[in-house]
Amino acid sequence: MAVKRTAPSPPTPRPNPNPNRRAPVSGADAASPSKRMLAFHFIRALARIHRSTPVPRRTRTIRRAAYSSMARAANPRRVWSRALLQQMRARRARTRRAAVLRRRVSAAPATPPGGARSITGEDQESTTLAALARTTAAAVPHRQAGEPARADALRRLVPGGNEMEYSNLLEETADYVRCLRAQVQLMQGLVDLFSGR
Amino acid sequence: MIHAAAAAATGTTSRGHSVDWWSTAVTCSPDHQLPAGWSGPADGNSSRSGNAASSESPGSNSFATGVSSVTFQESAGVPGPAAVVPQPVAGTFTTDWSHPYYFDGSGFLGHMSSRNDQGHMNVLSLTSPSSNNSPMMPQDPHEQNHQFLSNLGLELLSSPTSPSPGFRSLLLKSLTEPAASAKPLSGFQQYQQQTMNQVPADSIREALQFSNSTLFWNPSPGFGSVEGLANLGAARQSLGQSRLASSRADKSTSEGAGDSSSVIAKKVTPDRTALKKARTGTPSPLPTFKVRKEKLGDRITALQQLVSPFGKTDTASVLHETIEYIKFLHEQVGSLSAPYLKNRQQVPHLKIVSRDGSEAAATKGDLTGRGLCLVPISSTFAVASETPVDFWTPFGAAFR
Repeated sequence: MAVKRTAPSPPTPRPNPNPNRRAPVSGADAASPSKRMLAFHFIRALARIHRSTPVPRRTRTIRRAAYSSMARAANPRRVWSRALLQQMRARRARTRRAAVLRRRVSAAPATPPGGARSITGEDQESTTLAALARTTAAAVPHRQAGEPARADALRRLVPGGNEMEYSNLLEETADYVRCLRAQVQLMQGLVDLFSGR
Repeated sequence: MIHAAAAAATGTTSRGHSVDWWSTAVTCSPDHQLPAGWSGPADGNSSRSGNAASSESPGSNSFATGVSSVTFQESAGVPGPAAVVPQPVAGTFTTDWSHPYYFDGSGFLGHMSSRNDQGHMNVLSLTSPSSNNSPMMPQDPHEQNHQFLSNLGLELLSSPTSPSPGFRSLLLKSLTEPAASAKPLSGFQQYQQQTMNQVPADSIREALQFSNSTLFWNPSPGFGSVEGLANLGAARQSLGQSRLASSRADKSTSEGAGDSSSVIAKKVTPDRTALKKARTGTPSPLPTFKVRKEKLGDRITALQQLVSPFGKTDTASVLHETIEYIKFLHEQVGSLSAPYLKNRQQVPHLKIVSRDGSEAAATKGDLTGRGLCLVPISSTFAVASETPVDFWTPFGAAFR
């Protein structure tokens, strides 16, 4: 099915009584990210996914597209959005490299040193990443004395939360929750729209 | 043609609002047919609005211009005699600021009508800066009053630098002349009492300043009392402040969002912001520590409002709720990105932990809390027999 990428506006709005449906189109909150931007990015990503990705692995891709579009639509000054985008980029690079390596390994079963080198390269990257995380986590066990114990669980949840101070963490968390909520509302609205309601 | 019609239409429509109070005011005083020779008031009005020198002048200017804009609208629509009528009303504005009680009692409508009563004298006062010294009001019952007032105004204007006792004597003289023959209106007496109550007894020094300020005539206290006259111009300055304060309250109540109130509010807010700036500028004793704690408290409150508005407000519970909420939202995203079935019957292949008050699923109680849902068996056949359709296909199909 040839799909042309038309203007990334949400599909023609029929008179849908669903309140969620109206939100992504008309609502433009100042505090939370603009819902139009969210819808724009997400739907563009969805169109791209439908074109390129095979069916079995769509769920994961869509989920990642949701996070990426959310991060892109958010205020780039936010630490979590930048961290999230970096995360996605690294993961994509990693999977690409892994796919390339797998192909290389399967195509050329010989050359263990080359294979070892590349594998170690990939391992190095993942290990460096893990090491980075560990070092940063070790370096920042408790930034402030008044920080409660739950804060590290929060740091793990919020992207880029490891390097932040506690006060900044709280602010980023609030923004992240707002964006997440908007994204979920958007997706729910789209689902309702296309589920026949 | 079209423009004229449109202009007429807009004029009528715009007039329709302003005419409502205006027409009542006009009808209240049908004897307000001033002769056309009163171009003086117009000049006086403009010159007055130009002479913004006193403390209340900005407010008065805005108010006057606001009214004048309305009246000019009105005059544009209604030619002839009505053109002259607006001026005294515009003139009455500044004088009425000495009688804020009128704002309370009658509101804007009543105020306009009451103010029209003194329209004559006010016009007279307006004319005093201009060369028109003795305006003729043949059918005016308060002719002598107007004469007196205009004379007084002239006196005040012409002798700004006279010594205080001399000034007082002058005032006294001008007062006593027509005082015997003065026939005040009932409305005047009202004004008298009110302004007498309101105006505090002050020194003549302030009366001197009266001449410098914009032409404003306080008619009522002049009759029969030296004090009143002294306070006349007298507490002009103090009146300005008190008037501002009282008019602020009164006007805001009676007129809603009037020009003057907005101007006054604007005058007040810069002071407030300056105060605020001054206050925040002062360093607290332990700046980083206390400020940080306040910031944290504020942010925790913001989070709480965001996550669980009706829940507990302490840090630990807020953080707990936040963590749970974020986890829930992550799961929602994952499940919403999964393919759905046609008949809108979700198969939650991920364990969904419903949060309190999140979706309608919460209403199902315990079952939903465990990721289960009550469904009649008949509908499960549809689920069992169906092949999962990729839900997001319509997206690709829609984009053609």
